[in-house]
Amino acid sequence: MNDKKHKSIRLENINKSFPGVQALKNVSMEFTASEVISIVGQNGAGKSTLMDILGGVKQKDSGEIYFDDQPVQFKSPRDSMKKGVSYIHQELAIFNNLTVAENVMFNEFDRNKSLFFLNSKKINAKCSKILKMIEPSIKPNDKVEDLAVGQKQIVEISRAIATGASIIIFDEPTSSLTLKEKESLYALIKLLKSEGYIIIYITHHFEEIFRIADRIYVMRDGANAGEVKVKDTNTKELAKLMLGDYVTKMYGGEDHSHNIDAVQDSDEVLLKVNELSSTNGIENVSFRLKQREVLGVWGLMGSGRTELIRGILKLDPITNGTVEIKTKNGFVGLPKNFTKNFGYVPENRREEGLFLDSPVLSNMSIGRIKKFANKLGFIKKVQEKSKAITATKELDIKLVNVHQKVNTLSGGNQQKVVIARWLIFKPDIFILDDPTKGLDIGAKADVYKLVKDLVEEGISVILISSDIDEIIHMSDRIIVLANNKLVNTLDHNQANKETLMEYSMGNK
Amino acid sequence: MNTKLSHNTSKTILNFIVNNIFYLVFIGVFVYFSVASSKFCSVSNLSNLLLQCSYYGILVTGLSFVIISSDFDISVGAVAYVSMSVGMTAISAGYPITIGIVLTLMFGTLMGFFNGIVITRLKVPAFIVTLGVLIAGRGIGHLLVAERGGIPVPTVMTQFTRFKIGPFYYEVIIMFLVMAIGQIILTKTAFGKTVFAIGDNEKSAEHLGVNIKNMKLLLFTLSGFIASLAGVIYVTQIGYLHASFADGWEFTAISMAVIGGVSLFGGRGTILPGALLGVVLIVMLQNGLTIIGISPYVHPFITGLVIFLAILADSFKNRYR
Repeated sequence: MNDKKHKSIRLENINKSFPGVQALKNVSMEFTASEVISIVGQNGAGKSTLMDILGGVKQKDSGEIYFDDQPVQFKSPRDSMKKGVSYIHQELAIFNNLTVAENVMFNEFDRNKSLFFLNSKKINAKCSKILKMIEPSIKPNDKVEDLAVGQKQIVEISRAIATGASIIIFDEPTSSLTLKEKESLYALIKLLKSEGYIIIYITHHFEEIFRIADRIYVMRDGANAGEVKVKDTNTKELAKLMLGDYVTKMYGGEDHSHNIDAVQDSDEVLLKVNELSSTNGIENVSFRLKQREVLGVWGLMGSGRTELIRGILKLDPITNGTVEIKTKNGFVGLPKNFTKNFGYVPENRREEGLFLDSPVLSNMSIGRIKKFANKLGFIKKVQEKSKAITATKELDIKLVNVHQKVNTLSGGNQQKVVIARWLIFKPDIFILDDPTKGLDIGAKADVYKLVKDLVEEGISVILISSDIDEIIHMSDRIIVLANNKLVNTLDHNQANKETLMEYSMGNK
Repeated sequence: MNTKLSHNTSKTILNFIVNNIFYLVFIGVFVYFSVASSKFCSVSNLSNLLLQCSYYGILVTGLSFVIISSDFDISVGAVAYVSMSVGMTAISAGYPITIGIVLTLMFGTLMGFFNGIVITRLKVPAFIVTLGVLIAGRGIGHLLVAERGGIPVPTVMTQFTRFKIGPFYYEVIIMFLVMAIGQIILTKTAFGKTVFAIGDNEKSAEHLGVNIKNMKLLLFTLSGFIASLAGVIYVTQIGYLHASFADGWEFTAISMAVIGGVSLFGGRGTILPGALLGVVLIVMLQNGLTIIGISPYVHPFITGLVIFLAILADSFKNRYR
């Protein structure tokens, strides 16, 4: 489109610190035209901060950015956009109530003449020229709200082209795309590459990196940790570079030797679920949870995994069956308030689990805030804080202090805050619904270690996961759900991927 | 096959009804009053009805901009009252009428600017700021006006209401003009597109370099100016500035806009025809109910019901979007 594209971009010794953390330490990178560069690293490795600096969202403390050997300064997203940086965030910057052409040409509106009539013919023509090149099926006059997610992404890419970008940064672009849309995105990136754009591609998914990237920068703890060409490397090497010494921690080193014996020692049943049916669709599910075991719940999307948990906790009305828990006086029905016995870590920690704008402290104590209250109902601050600090240390949560907003923590640390909330009171049973969803390998390893520690302490865990390896590695027993019914119960040594998949698809 | 076809047709009809519920209600109300009373559908009554719409129509234009940008201004009634009080105080003290009107418009604009500054620079939520101005503003107005038991409007001004082109009073023509200009700005200019963009996704607009603060400041200032203009039009109609002048305008006007399809959630709506039809529907209800002899004490209930249903429909639409 325009031939004034920058040929190279260099970042030199970029430093950035936030209160209490040095987010970037002397990071240097170089990107050249017609190249797809992937930047990998765990959550919190500094990728986003670096990209935010390149995108003008945040400002560096020191270091230089060169565009074709000219130093540049970005004070705002607008500055960096003018220089040709387009940052396509995971959440698309798209206006659903405008047309495709208005979205694509949004940056071209003349803001000095903003009360003059827009020349919609010219706008549509320019937009249609770009769309013809990359995706002719989208028309300039289409309403964006009628488009699929993949198409909306293309609209945003078109805007980058219309704005005269030299460099396009993709942050986890495939996270909400269908398989087919992913393929067209890869094709589009190839096309952009051949047109001379610099592409930066950030993702957790190795297969995508090996599919489309040419070169990889690895970041660890805010610093450069390696630079490799895709054709010279493999996933193992990449994981090693990313994790440093983390890799051995994954699944606790060798496979699952932790507590099989312990479980057999105390083969006592802790929780009985009898013929449970709920308004949510669960039909006639019965199982037992033993003391000190990890019970895996496996099933495909829509098999009733989360619904089962909601039924057990009476978050959805039960239509039939009972849930009984062992107490000193034998088995009794579950009390109305499940928090007495359960620690529940819901599937969507950001929506259901956390109060994002509140400090870590109150996020931890809220689970049973009444326990912290004196007779008049006032919170005993000292006790609240000391408990929270203890839990923070126990779970090794990385934060500045407990008054920090949860929002500012990385995904793994947020997950730990939810777990800490319940851990303060040592519940009998932990229910973890997809606890490692969206976490990187390092944070996953931490959660796995935590699960093992919980069991060592005598707590039982019900683990739901959409990651089949995780279920197999972590569980002592696995119940398999299909179509809201329990189809089988497997012991750890009976379970492998094939049998689990077959049961969950209802083939056996 | 046949049943499937008829099922589809009934589904289409249902869809049509759901999508056009507002227009259907509008036509229904109009037809009902026309049948119930011969007086309703006369030229003189309809012409009067539009006259009653005029100040609301103007008021709603400024508000629509604010609401489409996903914000609120509930101070408009108070702004009209205070700015009018300032203008009328000047006029009653012997200053020329034009000076009084200019003073009114300037003061209204200033109050809108004040709203905007506090909202964008001190980062106080619009709802709270404009609520404060609503309460304090009425207080200031009372000091200027109610203390003296109200201020009569000079006859030169009230005579303006007699001017007519065809069946349209001059206020109605001003209303059409204001609304038409508003609609054109909203749909044909970069400014308007930016207002829609902010209403849909403020963060994204900011990332794309839109100066949200200045845009909002401008929108609240505009809303203040328009509110005082509506006040000027209204005062010439009633001929007397009294303590309950423009009382409750804010909620009536917001309801009218929402009924006319300006979404409370921002990002959607039109001034013409949308907001105008919302205004006409509410005024028509009050006018028609009076003509067919329903007690005025029942009016708020019926209008309230319509407003409630409209807002309900808006949130349903928003949910299934």
